[in-house]
Amino acid sequence: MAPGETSTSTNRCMTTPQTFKSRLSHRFTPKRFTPYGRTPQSRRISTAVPTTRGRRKNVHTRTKSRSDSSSEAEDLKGFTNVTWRVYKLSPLYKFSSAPKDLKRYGQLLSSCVEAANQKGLFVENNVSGKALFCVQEGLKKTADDPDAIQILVKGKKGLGTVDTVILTATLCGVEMEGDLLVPDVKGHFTYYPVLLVKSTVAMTDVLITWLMRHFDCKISPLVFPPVYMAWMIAMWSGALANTNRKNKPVELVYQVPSECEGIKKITYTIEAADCLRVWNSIHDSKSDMFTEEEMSTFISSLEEHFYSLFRVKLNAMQLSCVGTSLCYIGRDGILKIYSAEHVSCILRHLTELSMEHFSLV
Amino acid sequence: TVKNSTKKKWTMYKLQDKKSGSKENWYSDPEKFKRKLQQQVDLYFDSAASVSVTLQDGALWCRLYLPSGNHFMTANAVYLIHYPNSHCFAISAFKVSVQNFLFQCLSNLFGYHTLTSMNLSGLQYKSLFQLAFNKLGETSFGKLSDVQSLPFISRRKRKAEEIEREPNLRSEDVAMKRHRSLSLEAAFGEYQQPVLESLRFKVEAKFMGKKNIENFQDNGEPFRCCVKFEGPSVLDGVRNLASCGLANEPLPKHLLRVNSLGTNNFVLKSKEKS
Repeated sequence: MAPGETSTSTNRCMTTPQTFKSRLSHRFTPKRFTPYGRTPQSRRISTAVPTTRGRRKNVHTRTKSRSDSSSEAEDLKGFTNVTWRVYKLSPLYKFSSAPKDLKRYGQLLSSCVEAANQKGLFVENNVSGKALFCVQEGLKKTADDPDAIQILVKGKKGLGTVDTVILTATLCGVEMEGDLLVPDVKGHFTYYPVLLVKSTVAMTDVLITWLMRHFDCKISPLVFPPVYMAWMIAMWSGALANTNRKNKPVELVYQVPSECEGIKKITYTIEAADCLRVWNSIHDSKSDMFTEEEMSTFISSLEEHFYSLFRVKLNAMQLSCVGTSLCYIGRDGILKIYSAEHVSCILRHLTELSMEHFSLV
Repeated sequence: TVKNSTKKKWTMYKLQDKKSGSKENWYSDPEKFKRKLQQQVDLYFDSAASVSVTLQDGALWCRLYLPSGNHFMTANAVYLIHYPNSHCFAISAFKVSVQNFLFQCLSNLFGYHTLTSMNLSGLQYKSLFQLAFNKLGETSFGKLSDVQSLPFISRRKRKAEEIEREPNLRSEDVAMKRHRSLSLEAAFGEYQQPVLESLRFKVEAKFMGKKNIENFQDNGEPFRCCVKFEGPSVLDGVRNLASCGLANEPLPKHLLRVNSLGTNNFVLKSKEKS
């Protein structure tokens, strides 16, 4: 790389160089950029209610009326108890959510699926797919959020006669903070930070390849490093504590380094109520913001308890999956949501993580 | 199944409370064993139930097919392994609906009132029998001092650790590594550990992670958690955790004594509770 060039150019896809607005001024800096985003010092605790923006100030949440949240939960019930693969996207060029355009996209994707089928890309032959694009209700929380789009591919598998859903996908961005698109190009691009897909590997590849070719974007898996998963554990371990529902236990799965033969993973499952007791001792429950220090203290105290029992150093291992009452998340972009009322807050957090990858530091 | 025994999950049961008046019913002849087992199965199940027995590697291998309905289902087949003269057996998965009758058959067959689960399960049946033997410690002939003859006891020595030495590098912690290696050998022995795929602990103990927490809400309730170690050979893995430096010595007793406790499901409670 020539001096003066930055590696952030590799983070951008085939979009024009001025697509993104830098959060700092545009002055030249000799500092070499890395592909890693800055880990925030604090985060909002995601709840099911809308919050005002801002990261470091304390914010007070308004409570939604019960009828609103229950109807929203009903709309988003299809997101629960399904294992999703999560992807991040760069802005889509000339994407429109108008009904006639969505219908056209459906026809184009259907022909692409048919072509892939004829090439023999699917393990189950004769997957005849009809693709449908429609607007997903319940995920547009602010005026800056784009209309969430649901993509369905229906068809008959093999010699079956009944239509089944072969692929379900959702393009969305929930409570997007700030606008990464500069005004000059805003009219040409639509930014969806998150793509959720549930399907086979082959069909997912077909969809992603079609989206990348048709809308000139870059789609890649949204990977969750251990520090992100530690944030999620801290945020969501006691989320259902004030409800009558039984909380699922908090689960931390650590991957043992390959040098240690014989053990592949250690699963550490904690009762949700006990986990919440530890969290409440560290964090003031009245505050809506919490810091990285609180999160580190929380995780280290759980690992310290484990060490006192087994003298095994969990802090020398990496978190590979975490599970809470709200959702289960794997490092490679696997997501399973258990609570319909919290779909929005989980997607809001994924939106934030995806957008951090594209914001310039 | 004999060749692919690791495809099935085996659960160990021990025989307790010998029935008064019954002779020791230890069979090493597969034909006699089959006849006796078939007699019992015919009492409690349909005549369509079938039994087959073979002798392999010193163990009696039984296959019982207990039909339910008209169609053949692999879930109706139950497999059993028993070493003659031992007080335990390994059994594959079976339907809960047949458990009572099945265990009654086996109780009558072996001449014992009670068949108790040892909370010991895994894929390698020889390792399971070795662990069960370590716990029970005897066969019908009394405690055997000569364990070499038992077919499920593995007496292979563990591969010695190789410390790579670069000629130009000087290691500062050779003494520490040597000390660690000696203490692990004293704790685990020089032979290979039995193969277990999982080790599970259910813990109810006081919370011990409050060093950095100023205002911990200690209401006297125990901190409940469940820990599971998984891998191709967990007992070797526990040893390797210490040798790799991922665990500090001395390891706690509940990790060191798995070999002699004959189970891979433990409940740990703080002393006040117990």
